[in-house]
Amino acid sequence: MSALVCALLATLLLPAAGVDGFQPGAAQRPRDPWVLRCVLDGRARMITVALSDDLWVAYDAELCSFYAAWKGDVALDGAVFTTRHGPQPTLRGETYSRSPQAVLEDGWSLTRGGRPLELRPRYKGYTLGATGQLSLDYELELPAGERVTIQERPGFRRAHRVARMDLLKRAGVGADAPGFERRFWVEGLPAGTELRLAYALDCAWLATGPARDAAEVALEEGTQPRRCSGTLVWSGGAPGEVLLNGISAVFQPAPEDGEQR
Amino acid sequence: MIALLAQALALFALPQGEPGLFLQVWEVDEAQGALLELLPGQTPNLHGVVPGIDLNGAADFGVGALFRARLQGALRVERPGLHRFRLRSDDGSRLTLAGRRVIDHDGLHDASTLREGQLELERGEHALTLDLFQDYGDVSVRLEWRPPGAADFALIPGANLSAPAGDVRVTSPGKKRLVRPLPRSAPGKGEPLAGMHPSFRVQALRPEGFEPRVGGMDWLSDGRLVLCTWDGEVYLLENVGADAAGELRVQPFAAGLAEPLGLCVVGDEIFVLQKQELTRLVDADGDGRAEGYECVSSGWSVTPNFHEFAFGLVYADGWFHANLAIAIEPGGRSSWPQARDRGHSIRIARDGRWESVAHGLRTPNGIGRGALGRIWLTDNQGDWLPSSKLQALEPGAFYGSRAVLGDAAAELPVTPPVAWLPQNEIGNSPSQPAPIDVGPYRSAQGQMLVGDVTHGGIKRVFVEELEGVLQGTVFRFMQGLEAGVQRLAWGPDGALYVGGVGSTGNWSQSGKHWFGLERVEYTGAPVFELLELRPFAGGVELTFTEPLRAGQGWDPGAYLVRSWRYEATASYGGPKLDEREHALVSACVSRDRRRVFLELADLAPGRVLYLRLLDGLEGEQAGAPWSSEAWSTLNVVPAREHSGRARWSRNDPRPAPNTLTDAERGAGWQLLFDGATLAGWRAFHGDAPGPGWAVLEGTLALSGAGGDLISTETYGDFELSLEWRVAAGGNSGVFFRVSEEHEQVWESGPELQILDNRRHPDGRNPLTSAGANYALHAPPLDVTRPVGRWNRARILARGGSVEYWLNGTRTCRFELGSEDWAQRLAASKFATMPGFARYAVGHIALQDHGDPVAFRNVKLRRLDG
Repeated sequence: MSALVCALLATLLLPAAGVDGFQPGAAQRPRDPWVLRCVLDGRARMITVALSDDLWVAYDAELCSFYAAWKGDVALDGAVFTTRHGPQPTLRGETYSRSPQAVLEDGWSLTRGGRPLELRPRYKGYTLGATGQLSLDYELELPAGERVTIQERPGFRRAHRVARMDLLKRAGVGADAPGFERRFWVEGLPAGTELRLAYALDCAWLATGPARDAAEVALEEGTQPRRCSGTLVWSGGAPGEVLLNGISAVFQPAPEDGEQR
Repeated sequence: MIALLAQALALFALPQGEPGLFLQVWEVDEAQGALLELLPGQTPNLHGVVPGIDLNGAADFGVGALFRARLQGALRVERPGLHRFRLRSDDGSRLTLAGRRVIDHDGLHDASTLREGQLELERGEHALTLDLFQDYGDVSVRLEWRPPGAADFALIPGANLSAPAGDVRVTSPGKKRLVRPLPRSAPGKGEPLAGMHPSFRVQALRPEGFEPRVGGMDWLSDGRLVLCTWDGEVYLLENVGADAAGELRVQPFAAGLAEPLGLCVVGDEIFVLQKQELTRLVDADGDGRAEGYECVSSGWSVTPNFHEFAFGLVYADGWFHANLAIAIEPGGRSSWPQARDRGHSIRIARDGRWESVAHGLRTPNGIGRGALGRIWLTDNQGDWLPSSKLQALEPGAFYGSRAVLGDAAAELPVTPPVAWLPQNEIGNSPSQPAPIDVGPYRSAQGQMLVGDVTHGGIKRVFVEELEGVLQGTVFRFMQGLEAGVQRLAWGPDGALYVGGVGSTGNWSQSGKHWFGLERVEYTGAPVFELLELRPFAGGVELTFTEPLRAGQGWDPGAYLVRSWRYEATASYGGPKLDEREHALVSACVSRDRRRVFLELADLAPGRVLYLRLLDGLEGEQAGAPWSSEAWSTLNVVPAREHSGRARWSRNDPRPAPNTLTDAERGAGWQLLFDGATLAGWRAFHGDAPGPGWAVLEGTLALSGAGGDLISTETYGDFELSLEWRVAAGGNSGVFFRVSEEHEQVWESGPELQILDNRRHPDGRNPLTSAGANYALHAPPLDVTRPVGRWNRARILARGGSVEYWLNGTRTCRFELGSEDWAQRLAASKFATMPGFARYAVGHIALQDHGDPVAFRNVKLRRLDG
């Protein structure tokens, strides 16, 4: 795996059109179909999303968790693809970030009145929106029968559409570096209940928060890339309320031969 | 009779020569599989003298692959007595000593197996011949002996071997030609069918460029076909049916799915079974493409193993039924350990709940509706599964695979198969079961279909429930499809839609596409085949699709019945065990001639019964049977008696042997054998029959030296009908237009060959096999009955036009005096016989070839007024 320059960049989520405040920035997808179900890297229930030539991401549908982001594609090996018995598809290319196992397994947690509930979201499928946006649907059923729905929309944007140019420049990240956004809509979370999502990304820039309310984290100039981790939190509110949150990150691709940072 | 090979090669004089043996090698250009004869006149490519019988590789043989070899010479024996021999070879070999076959080690094998034989030998020289064939791979031959008094086996010393000398030894380059024996089977007679069932018609459906590896099919209420492919796509097909207004259109609907091998439409909602999830595809905006991939259920355990397929789908009573395959290592062995839910047949509710219905499956590629309103599933051979099989879905059943539970599974009672699909005979990789309700085939009456990916085509199964146990009989039904059959779906137009698939190795039908979509329509054209097989106490009842021709069905010799059992072990697959043939005691036919009751000896439960219709059984309209085999799984042999057989038996139309019916008399037939005396027969060049000929139990039999027997009368144009029965390894013949102006009957009369094809060496050459016009015309097929049974033969001779028939098949037709006849004659041993086939009138002769033979029902009618 190529070494990646990783630094944190403060970013503001750009204002977006529409109720959800999000522009998918539908780029030309690198393959058709661009959402693929198959075994990946030895994991059975995976969803692979070819967002862009510069960014593929994968999720574990069993765990409703982000698995990896990379530049490249998937080596589609196995009986149905290549007639070989035994091998299965694997991630191929330059990995930007791969979720640590702990985050993959225990990314989601739920508390009520401060006490943890042993519950995990269940994967409910995905939808390809009219504008080309992918929505991953999860659901939690609480002990009293309340249903909490979670919708995650992964997206690709160039760095300059994710963060301000001056911030990008300060961190030494190019305007066209790959940006990854994870937007969440949570509905039906009762008051007194808190939903958390742990995250960990190896990236150059990362910010979290609902639209227009981002906390910025930036590295000092020249700082080496690092693991950015934290927790998104949704606190239960009024019935019917939709809670937003999100993560925006920018990856710094490995330099081409001869290129210097 | 002189073996043709010996004619081709000079007979070597017995020993005078150099130490060692004379080796000849003939190169061939095809795999042999067994020791075959060479065509006459084939000069070897290589020859030489070898010091002993311990040869290895191309260095010793001169060539490494695709050849036939012979070692010849003499064995010098010093001490008389019992000599033992041990032969190893790669590939097959055969040792002949002093004119006796001592060791037969034929076949494809390596040198790790050996065969032994023994022979009493006097002191002196004994002719030795060792034949060998080589296809590919290693090649070797090693012969050891243990003479009397020897402690152990050892190589035969060179001093005890001598190669013949004094002959001109020639070689020639080029590949030499082999003689292949007659095929014993044909499509539908011991072989897979070659084409579509006569009552059906197959139509291509796919537009150019659309090559689906079909994983599932179902119908929308508007008549569109929904189809998923193993590659992960879903398509909607418009204008599919027979009454479609326009051209077929294929619309992509969904993609990116994980190896979907099941699809179901419920209330116009499309459900697809991915490898690890049941998914509902939603097209909310009506643009013809699914945008929603809703996960209905994915709770069962999975691992990344490539073989953990999910097969489906059947929707019944609010549940989706699917099968989960186990994990397997490349090569086929079951993985260990397994995820808990593998090998289960499960059902999934619309709300996503799922539960196990049954377990102990391996690769259950098919689940579908079928006979008797039930859900059926198939499973593929592997460990704990000797052969592929068909099962009914029974809640709580354990079907036998120990892959998941290991040793703990040994305690569980195993639900036996409803129908074994004996591996490579009638199944290899069975896929989806389906119902059938056209013509005489009705699911409510126990009929159903099963596809197969590798054996290919579609089989038909008749099932019934006996004493609370389901069991069934499998029949060949359809081939001639464009790919191995994976999925079946009856369409709203009443046709059967067949989806094909294929991949490397055992996952495709040889010579077929790896994709396919066709429509199979019932045309109603008549067919004659077995419809049902039902066991009873003491026998089985066969039901046919149409009545037998009048008079047929009563000969027990027309049926062959064998059975065997299977035993599940940890090994992959399993052989047939305790295979035996069942004696046919009697056969009787119902008044409407649609049913036959076969009285069989030794029926036992827990076995597979194989039935073969040999000959002489034809449908009133459709003639010869479409398929003449059945494989019946006898989980129980019922106590029920057959209520009709006694009544049917009273209608036996067959006349007593060696008699004529009034109709035959009226048609001019005469008996040449009255069943009691040898009147009408005498020795060739004699006044009375030779001593070896006698009447034995109503047969005209040869049991010792008798010389050839001829009819006292002579005949010109005639039809001769008789039955013959030869002893194991036996040889005889029937000659016509024989003249006593020659020393031997065969110098004047053409011969209809009588032979035990399997055991007599002449059976290796079609020109000298049973039914041949000896040495001149070969039959197309071996249609003899198993040795010991009576065979029906006919000769029709009208002027120069002659036909031979054997067991209802015409084996030869030739025109005496034609150009073809002249060419064959010139190339045969008869070329030097001026009287051969020259007489317009002559005797009928029965040959004494030194083997026991018997005749009965010998009848003739003149055709020349």
